[in-house]
Amino acid sequence: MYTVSLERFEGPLDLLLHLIEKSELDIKDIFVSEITSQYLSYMQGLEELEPDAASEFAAVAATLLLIKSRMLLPKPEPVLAEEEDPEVALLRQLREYKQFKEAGEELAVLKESADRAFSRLPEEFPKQPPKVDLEGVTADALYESFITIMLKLDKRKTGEPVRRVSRDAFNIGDRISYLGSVLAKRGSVAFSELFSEESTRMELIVTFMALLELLAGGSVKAEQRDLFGEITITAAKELSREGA
Amino acid sequence: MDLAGVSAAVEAMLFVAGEPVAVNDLSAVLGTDRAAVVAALDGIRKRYSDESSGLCIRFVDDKVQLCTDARWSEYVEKLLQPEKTRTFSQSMLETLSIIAYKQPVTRAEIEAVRGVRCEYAVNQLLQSGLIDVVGRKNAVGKPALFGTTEKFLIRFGLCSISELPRRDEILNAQQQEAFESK
Repeated sequence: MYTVSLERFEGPLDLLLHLIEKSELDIKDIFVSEITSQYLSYMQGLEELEPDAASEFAAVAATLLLIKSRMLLPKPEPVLAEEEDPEVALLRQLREYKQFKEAGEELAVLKESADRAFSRLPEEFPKQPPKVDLEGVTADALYESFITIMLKLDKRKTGEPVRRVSRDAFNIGDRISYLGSVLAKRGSVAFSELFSEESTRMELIVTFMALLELLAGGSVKAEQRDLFGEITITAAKELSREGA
Repeated sequence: MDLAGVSAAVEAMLFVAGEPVAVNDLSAVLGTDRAAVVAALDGIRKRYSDESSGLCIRFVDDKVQLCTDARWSEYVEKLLQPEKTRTFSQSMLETLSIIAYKQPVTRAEIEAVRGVRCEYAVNQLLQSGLIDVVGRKNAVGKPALFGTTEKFLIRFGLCSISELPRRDEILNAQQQEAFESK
């Protein structure tokens, strides 16, 4: 039997409608006709379709077979009332689809006639920027309005908490003086001796940076015998007070 | 301003605007009431048809646009060779008609009618500006609801959605089916 490519059809419902029209049948008579077997013969072309499209055609084929088999068997007990009879559902779907397919064809006709009426594109009006009138404006007036705006801003800001920035507890300059005074007194000192147990991490870091400064200036020498071992700091020469 | 003045001013504004203009905007600019503008528009429409003018006015929702009479399209096309709007594929037309009649609808609802997936057709229609997302359905996943746009009305020569061919008939049939399947 000659079959037309399935790609010609918009889907299983379109194919069913085509078969119904060709047989000059009413939609409601499709189950007592040859439509099911005609539809199934088209399924030979299923392989040429993408899986998605093919499964849509196959799903309707399964429904048609289900309906056919139910008609051959004695009527079973009525199924759950909530479930729509597959025959009724398919007929409803076909009628609905047919309506919109035809409506689409009518829309195409409307579009064809509407296509023949042309309208203009809107006229381009480059808009002039609004003119600014500066006549009679004095520097004093500008100052006045500026102050007014600033005051407004200030008012808006009140209520916002003022942020406090605390002073640095340690700075490199102080630490250099401290290191210098210790070395002046003792000649050499172990790095760990410079800190008490309460010393903070910040104190340690700042002191270390002060030591680096002194090393760079060549005024001290530092020695570390082992990895992570004790650092011994020795005054290179007599330290001047200006190290700070 | 007398009716002749309102008509002339409206005609001038529509000519320059090109696009559809809201009737209310026209009356606001002219400082007249809406009824005067409506009367003027009616006069213009009659005059265009009586004097076999090459122009006509088209109403879209509550807007009005000046355009050429389709009867003379042959000559306009010969002279200016305007870009032809492409014809729609069958799948786009079916999808568009379902959206137009049943709007607002979700893609799943469109697919239920067509029995096939409609993602591509819906995206094409969105891109062409004929449909738009008009809301979200209050269902699982909040799916987008689609509806037609003003551009749809213009491109299909409709004044409003109520002018869709056999609209009442189709909607009634829909309700009937829904009732029977309950």
